[in-house]
Amino acid sequence: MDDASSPIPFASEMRMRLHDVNDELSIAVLQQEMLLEDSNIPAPMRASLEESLDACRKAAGALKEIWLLLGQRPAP
Amino acid sequence: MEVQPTARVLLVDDEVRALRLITRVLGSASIACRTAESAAEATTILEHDAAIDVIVSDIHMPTTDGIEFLGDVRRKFADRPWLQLLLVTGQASLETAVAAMRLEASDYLFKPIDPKVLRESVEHALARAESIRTVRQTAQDSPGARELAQIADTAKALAADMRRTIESDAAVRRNHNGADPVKVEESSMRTLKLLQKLQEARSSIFGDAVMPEPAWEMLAELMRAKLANQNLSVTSLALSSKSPMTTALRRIEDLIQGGLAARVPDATDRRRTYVELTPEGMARMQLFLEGFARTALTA
Repeated sequence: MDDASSPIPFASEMRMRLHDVNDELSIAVLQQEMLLEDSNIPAPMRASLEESLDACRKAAGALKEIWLLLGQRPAP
Repeated sequence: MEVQPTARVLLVDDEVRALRLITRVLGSASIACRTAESAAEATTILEHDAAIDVIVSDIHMPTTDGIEFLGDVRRKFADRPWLQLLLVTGQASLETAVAAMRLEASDYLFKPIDPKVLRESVEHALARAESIRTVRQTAQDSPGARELAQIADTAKALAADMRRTIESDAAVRRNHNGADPVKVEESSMRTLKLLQKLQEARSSIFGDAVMPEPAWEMLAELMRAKLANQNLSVTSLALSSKSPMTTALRRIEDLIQGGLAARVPDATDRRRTYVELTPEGMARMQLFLEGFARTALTA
């Protein structure tokens, strides 16, 4: 479905896909945050998890920038 | 045998993994939850379970979106004013913020959710729901004549105060025809103080049952600081919101992103940053205060 309010073709479709990507990233982030809350986690694993979490958060940040580039959803 | 706490939180999300994870996050703070994979399922649960105090709903759902669902909840369960709504969204947008305000949502959270922020927000919402339930219960259980008389007295005194201030301000505006900015600023300051009194009266009567509106509290504080020629640090501004620090900081970001406020570095100490109204924010507040004064006068 195209979106006349955006200069980018298929903007609505892209927004939907971005939502799906963000949902998946959210699950990964929450899962890692929960693992990190466990104080018994071995140090090397903690470091690795923290790096992975940082990467996911950066990816989520980049995704939000794409959202901004796409512009606001047209009013219904 | 361990007694399971009654679930007071309902999680709504079409994504089962998200439901499972959020249940775990809240479970680690001893908050029991019920879950629904659709708006329809959530409505059925609400119809049969009056113990639910807080609904945490994703906005982006395939059949009925979260905003529509929560709007239906407000209409269908209007007899449960204690229901607290928390919106979860992937994208910060003006549309979401406006929807949250219309629904009187207690908070909105952005994905990926920070577990600490989620727990804090749900705990806050549970406390608020409890407070509203208690106020309503007290009103039902006792004749409450004394409290009602106190409320009426406070309202009467406040109304008289408002009328006096607004009438004198209207006279100032008429005489100066808006040409004297100092007088207009003084008048805006008085209207602000009046609004603050209204807020204080509301808090003294309803306690925590009536939630603070962090963004509004901070806009009013920014306007007051601007008129009084004072600088406001991020911390002072957040404290004025009467909300948890994390909520206040997010609302400050909303105000900045919405072009109503801006961060300004301290000229004497570059490590320090102040927050102030932008010209746009100032103009809108001025417009609001004048509109409020006019409306109150003709009411």
